[in-house]
Amino acid sequence: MRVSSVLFAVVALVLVISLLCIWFYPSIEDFMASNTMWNGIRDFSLEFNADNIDSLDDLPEIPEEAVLVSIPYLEYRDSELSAIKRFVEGGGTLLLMDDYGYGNGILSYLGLDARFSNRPLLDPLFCYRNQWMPRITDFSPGVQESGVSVLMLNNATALTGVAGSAAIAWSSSASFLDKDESGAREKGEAAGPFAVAAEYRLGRGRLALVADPSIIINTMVGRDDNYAFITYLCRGEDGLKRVLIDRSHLTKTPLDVSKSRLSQAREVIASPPALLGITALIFVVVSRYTLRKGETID
Amino acid sequence: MNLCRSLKTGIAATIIGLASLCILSPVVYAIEPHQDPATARPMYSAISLLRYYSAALDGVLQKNPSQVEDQLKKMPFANIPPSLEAAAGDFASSGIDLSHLVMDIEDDLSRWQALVVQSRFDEADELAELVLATISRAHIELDNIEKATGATDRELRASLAPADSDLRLAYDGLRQRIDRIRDMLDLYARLLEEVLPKSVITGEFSEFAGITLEEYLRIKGLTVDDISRLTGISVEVLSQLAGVTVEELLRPTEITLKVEPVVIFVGGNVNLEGRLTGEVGPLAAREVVILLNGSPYMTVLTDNEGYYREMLTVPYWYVSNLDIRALYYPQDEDIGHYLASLSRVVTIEVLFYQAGLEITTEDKAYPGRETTIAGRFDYGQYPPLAEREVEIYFNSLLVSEIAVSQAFEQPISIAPETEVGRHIITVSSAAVGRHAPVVSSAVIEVTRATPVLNLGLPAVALIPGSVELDGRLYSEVGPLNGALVTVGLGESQIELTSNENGALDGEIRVGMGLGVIGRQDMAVQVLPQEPWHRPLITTRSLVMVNMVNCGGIIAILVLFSILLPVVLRRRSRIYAEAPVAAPVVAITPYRPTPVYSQEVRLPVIKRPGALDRGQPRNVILAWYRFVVGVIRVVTRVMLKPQQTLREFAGESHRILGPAARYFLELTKMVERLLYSQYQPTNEDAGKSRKLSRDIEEELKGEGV
Repeated sequence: MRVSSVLFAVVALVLVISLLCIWFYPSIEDFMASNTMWNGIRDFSLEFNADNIDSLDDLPEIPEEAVLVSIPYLEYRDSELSAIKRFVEGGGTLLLMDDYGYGNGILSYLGLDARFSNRPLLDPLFCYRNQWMPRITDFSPGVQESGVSVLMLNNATALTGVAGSAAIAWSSSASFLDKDESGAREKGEAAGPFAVAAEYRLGRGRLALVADPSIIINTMVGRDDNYAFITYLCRGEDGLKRVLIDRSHLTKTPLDVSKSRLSQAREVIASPPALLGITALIFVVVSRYTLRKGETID
Repeated sequence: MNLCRSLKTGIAATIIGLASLCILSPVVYAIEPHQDPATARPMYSAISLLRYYSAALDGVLQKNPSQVEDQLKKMPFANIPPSLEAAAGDFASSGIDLSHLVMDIEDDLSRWQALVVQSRFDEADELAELVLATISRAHIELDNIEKATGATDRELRASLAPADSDLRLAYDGLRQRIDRIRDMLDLYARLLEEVLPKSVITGEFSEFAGITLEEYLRIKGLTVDDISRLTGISVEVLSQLAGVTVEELLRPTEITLKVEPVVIFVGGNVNLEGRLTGEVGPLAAREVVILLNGSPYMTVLTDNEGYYREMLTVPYWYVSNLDIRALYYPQDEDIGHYLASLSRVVTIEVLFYQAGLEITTEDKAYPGRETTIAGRFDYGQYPPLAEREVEIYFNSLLVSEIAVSQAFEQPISIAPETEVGRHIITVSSAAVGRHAPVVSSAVIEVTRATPVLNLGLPAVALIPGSVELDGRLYSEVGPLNGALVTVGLGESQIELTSNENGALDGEIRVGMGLGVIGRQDMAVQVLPQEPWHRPLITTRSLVMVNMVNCGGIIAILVLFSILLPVVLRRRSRIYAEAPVAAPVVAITPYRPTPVYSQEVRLPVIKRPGALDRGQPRNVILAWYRFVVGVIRVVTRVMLKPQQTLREFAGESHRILGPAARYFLELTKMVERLLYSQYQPTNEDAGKSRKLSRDIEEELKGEGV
């Protein structure tokens, strides 16, 4: 057997194994729909029939029945901010969930005073297991009527500059913003309650702010009334709106990038021109091989 | 050479494998930044718990029960050790109860002080007993809080912590607040106990009849301030009473009340009369307060005989019963001389007309459109009003104010920005004379209409070409005017706008594609301009025929149908050509045997002269081919492509007769030659020649 043949066989084997690994090996990155572990959002994606979009160009032209879930861990470009503004003012709902990301850029572009404080919100008393997982029990009447009585956050922050009528959920008076991240309340660190969720009407649409995106990860979405709260935020005229997750502003591992590209490649291959081309190629190769074999037999 | 090749192969495989591992490994071992709730380390904050308790008790001290309740009802969600859960529950429930009790005590004390100031000691005494009972209950709740605090301390060991530690300070702060609440409750009790009951005061004074207040104070060793605190009478008034004998102080009074009639319509007049008297006779020119349902409503003066008379106009309160009482309490110069008195309760029955109001709303209302609210007053047995004012509220917003008769219909506008869902329509009509006010509510469902698209499409669309679009947009509300309709078919897309009748038409060009014939979805998005219409996304399916591709495929098929036979013929000719020299068999043209004839004419087979030349293998095969040719002519049995040599021999056996034995032997020889590694010898070649000749002879003997 020649060296080139061995190389070709090894490359082909590695390629196939790599593709299979990429396809079937689950992502372990935060907020990835393909991540079935505790920090993924597979459960959320399944429960809410959420679709992932890799570009804001994929936003629906009629946004009224759609909720765009944005977890801005990467900065938005001006063109993307413009697309978001068009989406919201056209009737869409933007569910902006941020803790330490670039959510304030969006709020600034939309002309709102509200901001994510980007400081850890700790509650040493009303929490689950430890102070980094605060429990929220104060809600606006609308949220309470939807059946939400307690919410669990995970490594959350707080909202500042929220108008009183816009806030829909507050932390307890035992909470505080841990500015120096010491884990204890020092002098000068503001004490609660703080707004952790708010709702605004913008144009024909709605903007919902949540100071913690972690409430949608697999291990959090079913805790306390997190599911009911997300349902409330994604509500439409006839039940839930169509949920779109902006995957383009999440941090990704090479595996996630590969998965994304593999999906894109699959879509390209599944298109009629590509299918036709592949069929033709297979036909040519097989015919050539068969004819050559035939000559050898003769 | 082989070793070098294996080495190269191994190195290449190793490099590729390592490269794959490098690509995948960072993903597998990435570090996760979040904490998993299932494995999160439990942490409790004793300081936060004690501070939170203190903050709740601050609410008690500040007489803010709603704040206390809001804080303590969250305790089930607190992250505390399981051993403290019971204590926390006790603390929360007792804290909430205590805050409400303190608030009740505060309210009652205010009322009690007002009664004392008015020298209404009888009522003050009754209320004081109630307040003292409430204070006792508050002490019990405070004891519970203290027990819960003690249990918490035993678990947290806060009292054993260093004095300047945060834990100890938090605990001490909580203890201080408990002590302050206890002091506050004690103060309430002292306040009540220090003001003597009426019986004590008047009994004390009766023992000192004939002496002045000044002398009484000197004998008892009291000051004016002490008497003021005991009786609630101000120091200034007591100073003016210094020369008055004690039996003239705080003398009881009595007041009567008679009301006629006791059944009356609202707005009607009732006569009130009664008399105010003291121990020594009527009290003239005194102010009597008329209380309606416990609240002062009007005042009237007594005449020289202590009588008072007044006409009371029954207020338009539209309540079935009204309690009337007359109250005298000492004012100005009477303070200190007389005690207050309160008449019996006289209840009058108040009559008024009542009406029902039935409201009907449309099944659906739409944002930005009007909806009609219909109403009907039902007066029953009462005389109806010809006209009355009504106000219509959408949720809590006044949207219409009109004068209506018994039945009415009023259109109201629904704001365009109104959220869809259930809303409340409230219609209220103010009272008119004897007619009581009416309020009624109904639920109205605000929704948006779903557009219906009637789109005329051809059954079949040809490519290349275009599709004519002709349709109409409407809904249950009416046609969609100015709606933006986006139609997409494959890569093509057009935008249309509906006219005032909802009609739209246009043409969408169909681009080339790879399809031939099949159904294709046409995506239609409708974006209405009216706020009462919701957007619509729908698809239509139509059959597409791609003429270009169809033509191409037909051309390819035709080309194949022409070329394929040619290619096949050429290939069959190639297969037919023998690779080795075969014996030339001269075969006369075959003539079919006449029907019904026994005569058999066989072609003449010429033996080639070169059969014995060459290798033994070729000689044997040449003789075999010769024999087969002879047999084919003789027997007319053909060697079929799928037939083995032995099968052919078997098939021709019956016809060959004695020659079959030789032919079978020759066949076996050829088979051995073809299917084994056997190398034939010249002897084998001679044998094959002999067998061929034997066959030939036998066939001649048979007359061939």
